[in-house]
Amino acid sequence: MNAVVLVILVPFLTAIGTALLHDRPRAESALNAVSCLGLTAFVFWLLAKVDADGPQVSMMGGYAAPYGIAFVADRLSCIMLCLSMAVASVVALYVPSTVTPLQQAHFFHPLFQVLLLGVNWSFITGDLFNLFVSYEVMLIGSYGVMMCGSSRQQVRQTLTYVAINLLGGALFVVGLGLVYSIVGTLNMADIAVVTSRLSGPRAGMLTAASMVLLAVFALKAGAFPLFFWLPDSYPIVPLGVNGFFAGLLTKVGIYSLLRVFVMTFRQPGNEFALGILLVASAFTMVVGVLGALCQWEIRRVLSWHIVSQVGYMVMGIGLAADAGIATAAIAATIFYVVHHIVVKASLFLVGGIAEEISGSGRLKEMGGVALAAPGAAVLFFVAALSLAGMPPFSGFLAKLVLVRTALQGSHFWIVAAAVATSFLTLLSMMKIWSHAFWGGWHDAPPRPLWRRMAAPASVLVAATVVLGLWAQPFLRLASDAAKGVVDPVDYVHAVLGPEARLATRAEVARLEPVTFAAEDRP
Amino acid sequence: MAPHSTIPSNVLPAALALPFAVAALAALLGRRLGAVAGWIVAAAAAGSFLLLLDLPGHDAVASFRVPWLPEIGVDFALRADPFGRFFALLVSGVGFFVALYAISYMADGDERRMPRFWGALAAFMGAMLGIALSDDLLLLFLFWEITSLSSFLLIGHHDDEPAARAGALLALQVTALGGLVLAVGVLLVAQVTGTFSISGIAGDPARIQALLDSPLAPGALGCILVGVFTKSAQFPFHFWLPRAMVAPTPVSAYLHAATMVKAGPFLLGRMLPVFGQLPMWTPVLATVGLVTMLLGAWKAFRETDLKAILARTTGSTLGFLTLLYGFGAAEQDALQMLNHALYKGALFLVAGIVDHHAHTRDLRRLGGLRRELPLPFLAAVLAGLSMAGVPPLLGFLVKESFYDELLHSDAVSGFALGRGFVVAACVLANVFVAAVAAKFVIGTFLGERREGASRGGHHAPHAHVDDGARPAGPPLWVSPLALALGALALGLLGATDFTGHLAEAIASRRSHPFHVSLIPTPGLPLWLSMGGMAMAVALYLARGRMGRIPDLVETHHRPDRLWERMVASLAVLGEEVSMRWQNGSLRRYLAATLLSVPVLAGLALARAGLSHRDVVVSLSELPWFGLFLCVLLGIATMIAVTATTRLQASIATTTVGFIVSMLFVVYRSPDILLTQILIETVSTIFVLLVLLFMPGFPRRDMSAPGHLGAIAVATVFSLVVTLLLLLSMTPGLRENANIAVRPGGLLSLALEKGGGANAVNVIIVDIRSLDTNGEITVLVAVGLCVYALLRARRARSEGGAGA
Repeated sequence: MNAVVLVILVPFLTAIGTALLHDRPRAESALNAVSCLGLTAFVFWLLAKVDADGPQVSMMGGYAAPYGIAFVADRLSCIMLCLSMAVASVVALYVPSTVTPLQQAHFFHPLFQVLLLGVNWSFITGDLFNLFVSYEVMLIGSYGVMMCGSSRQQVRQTLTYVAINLLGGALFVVGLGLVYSIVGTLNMADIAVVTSRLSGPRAGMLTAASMVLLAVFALKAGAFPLFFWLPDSYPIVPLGVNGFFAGLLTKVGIYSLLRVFVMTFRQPGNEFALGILLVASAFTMVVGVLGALCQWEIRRVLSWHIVSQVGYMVMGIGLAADAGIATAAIAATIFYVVHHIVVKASLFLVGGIAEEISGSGRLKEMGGVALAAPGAAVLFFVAALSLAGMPPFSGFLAKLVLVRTALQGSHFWIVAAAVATSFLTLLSMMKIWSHAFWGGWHDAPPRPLWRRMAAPASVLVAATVVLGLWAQPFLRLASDAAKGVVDPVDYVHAVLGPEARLATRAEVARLEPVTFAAEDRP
Repeated sequence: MAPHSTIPSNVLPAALALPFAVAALAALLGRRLGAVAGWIVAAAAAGSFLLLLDLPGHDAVASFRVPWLPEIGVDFALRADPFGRFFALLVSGVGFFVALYAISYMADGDERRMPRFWGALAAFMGAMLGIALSDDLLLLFLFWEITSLSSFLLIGHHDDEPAARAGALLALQVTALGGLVLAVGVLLVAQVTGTFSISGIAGDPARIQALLDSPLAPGALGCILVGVFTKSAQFPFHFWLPRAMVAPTPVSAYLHAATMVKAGPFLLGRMLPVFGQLPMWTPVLATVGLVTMLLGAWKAFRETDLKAILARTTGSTLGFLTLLYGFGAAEQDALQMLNHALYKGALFLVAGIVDHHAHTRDLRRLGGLRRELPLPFLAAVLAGLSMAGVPPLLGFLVKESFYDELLHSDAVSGFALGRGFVVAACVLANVFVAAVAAKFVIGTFLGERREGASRGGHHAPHAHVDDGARPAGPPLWVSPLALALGALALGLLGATDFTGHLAEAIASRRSHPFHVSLIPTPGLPLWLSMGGMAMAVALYLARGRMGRIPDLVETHHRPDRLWERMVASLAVLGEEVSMRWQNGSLRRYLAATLLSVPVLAGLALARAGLSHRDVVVSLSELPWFGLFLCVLLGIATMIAVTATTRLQASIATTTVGFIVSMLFVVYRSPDILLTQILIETVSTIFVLLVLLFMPGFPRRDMSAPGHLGAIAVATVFSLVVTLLLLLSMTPGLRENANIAVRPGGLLSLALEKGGGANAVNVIIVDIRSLDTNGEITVLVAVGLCVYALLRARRARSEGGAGA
């Protein structure tokens, strides 16, 4: 189905359109919003179609897989696309209140669309090299948005971001070269077929080579110890778009880990990579939340929490090393991603509202927002509790299914880390609440702008309530999506045709662990 | 548990939804609701009470079940067994009186905070009903956490006072941590038994046996107990309750005496049939219960603040309930809870009236209020007598039957400390509690009227309600008197069979009949009771002398301060850790990123048993031109690394880029070469622009160890990556048929479909043109950024010139 291409074609054309319109700010932001909303409708339709009819494939240029570039929309892709477009739409409605004329003049909207193009691209592509290209597009888009306005501080801070990410890009190419050299193909479905047959030294070699990509994706996701670029760079992102950054960008890393390390690399020994992720996830959770505890600015607290929350998702992927609980673990991860994108974006938007009301984002200068704007306080309270995993919001269920899976696999130490992190998250959220929302308020009415910002934010907050109370359809979808990632038979057949033969995870697990016996040496 | 027939009932969800609907209404309408909010909350409480009262009678149990999360096996299941129904009636009944009281009590508060107050109170009531009626462990946990959260908002009601904020945070921290651990316990139970259903586990001996046999059982029970102990302020988590007394008094009466803290014992009652046979059940519960009971009684005797006294005795009573469950003595649990809710609720509400009237709660400044507050005095006397266990109040009956139970239960004799010790400890605790009750009532209402109460005290915000200026609701004395009269009525009815039957009907377990009657039968329980009362009188009379004994328990190391210091030290730890990983040094970030590759790949290689000995690649295939470029590349890299200015460094880096482009000549792909040159050019311009914004090269150059470190990182990275590259070209370690050379692969596709002999070109511009397109997009976006940067710079320099 070639309509799949729309998910990158629309942002691409909108980027051009907004660039051309950039002397007419109103038309520009209207085009931005309309394009986002329209594409959102399309991706939700696509999700429904994929859920009913199976993966949809479009081969670029009409070259058949595995030679041409495949765009594949399976359930996981569609879930990610729906999230990215929903958050983008909310942001597009939110930013007209916050983007300054200077930022507008500095091509805020075209660069935002380029960012969106890169993000959507990474979710839809079924080709490993093409994934790299999408990373590059995403990087330049995010970089452009970050330094939009070009203040000295922005330019300096973005240098760290761009330097680290360029190094990540370089490593990506190195990793790609190694993997291509070993498996001889770039199409993910084809790699999955090839690697599911690998054994012996070849499998071990591929695992070693895949470590380069593991580092790249962990860097993108902000996993321990490679998260250092994150907490410094997000606070400078323009208000509103930081919701998109916080929600989506690290999740591209998580998505890539799912797509590449769970679905694509299937050689025996791949569980080594997942095991490393499980260990890293404990550190990511704990270090991230400890970092958040000592911050005194809303945006910094929230940025550190991105790190700790990424830990939970990495934990889910790591648990997939245990073949018995792999599908449940991945389903939990996908549900967590859904929850996290919604909640994190809404927290950044609501945090922006609190800043707008108080005129500052420093906790020690804030106070009394609950009296000044009770509505904003409700939004924050719900989102903050959801982040910490309190019922009845989505965070509770997300953590619950994750911890449940870990307990089923008897991984008690990671459960301890997850529970401790959840507790510390609550501490730091209540620190924001107690400083910014509680306390006396001087009786002047707050600046009225916040009401316009609150409407889009409340959509996302409502979503976390719905995800918590009416979770069954989403849990079911996550579970089905997970099956498609853990054993992508439908995916492979949709891309390569029905004769392609994929060894399922259960079959691979029956093979003996790889040892490099002396007589096998080439 | 007696078998009951189950009948589906829609009344249960209705009774549960009513308070939540009111909470939503209060949150949505906010201040527009005004003073009506309180009346609506009271009406919701009454409505839920009546709905639950009207449920079918003795031999049938109303239940309601719809699938909620079939994916993980969780149902929205409610069940009104006698014990749960009793608890729900207690919650809604006391809730009604507390709401009535709060309408008047809170009338003079800051009206901006009132929507939050009523919303949280209603949500709390709904959540408590949920705990009482849940038949699903996960659902119960969900409501459990909602009570913690609404309690947090209610304790912190006066959020402009630091003490209120600190008390609320402390309570939330302790109860939420317990809640999280409880969740793990619930998951473990469900994992072993295969269901979240409470009645499904408790009613199925096979499941209980499976649970008891499982190695996970002690862990599961331990997790659940942490949840119980934190919620009901049991040792060592007892310290949050006194600090929660900064809450408005109706909240203290409702949450921290009558209902929420009883959720812990309530859950114990639910778990007793499941875990009661586990060896650790009795020792753990009995020990924790004993310590909490004695500690609370002793501390209550030392306090002088009315609410602190009540909080401490509440802790003591809860410890007593824990002890009770520890010995499996659940036949009278409900009556104990009812008794405590009635007298303690009444006393709290009286304390609120005294506070309003005299503007102090300090016993040292109170006295002689009986004439000014005659009806609250009456309520306090009745409630105090019940607390002290004096006939004919309910407290007497309850104490009597408890001693009876204690003296006859087999579990007590099995306990390590022995029956004698346990009985003595309980009598002692009762003596202290009775003396405290006397202190409370006599100290406040009898004796001389003291004028120590200043109007400028820290409770000034709630000024005159009882001066009749704004009659918002019923008089304050209505609710405490009603509760106290309830204790009296049930006590008097003990002369008939009524109270005894009631106690049996609402208990969580009915295994053997037990003695509840106002007419005492002579025996050891009666003598214990009488002797205890005599000792209490003596203790009260000697209170002055007792007060001079130094209090050695928890004075120097107050556990709440310890906890707060622990939490604060976490932030310090966070600072340490984050400074280490987040020191702002780009060089370190890059080093860590680079090092992650050799470390991970090295581990994987070692695991697969691969090393440099496996490399079978010949370098002789490289042409001389390529070799020459490689040498140039090395030289340019050295220049870049040793550069002393940013400009030098960036130009050298560009040179490296151009030389790399030349390598494409070796591989005969001029298109890529051109692209590469273009990218190098643009990025150089870009870097140079960024440099304009950067301060000069830092004068403090890299130290010698820094140099060595950088060299080491670079060397390790290069060696491992080179090894990986060489290994990946080793024939035995790779697939031989790659997509270029497969039949019908890229090489033949390029010729046949692409129509070009240069396969690389066809791949770039046709087969994989999307990649190229993406890179072009990147270039254009870079152009936009550069343009914006240039404009910003020009605008700034013009602005600077203008100023």
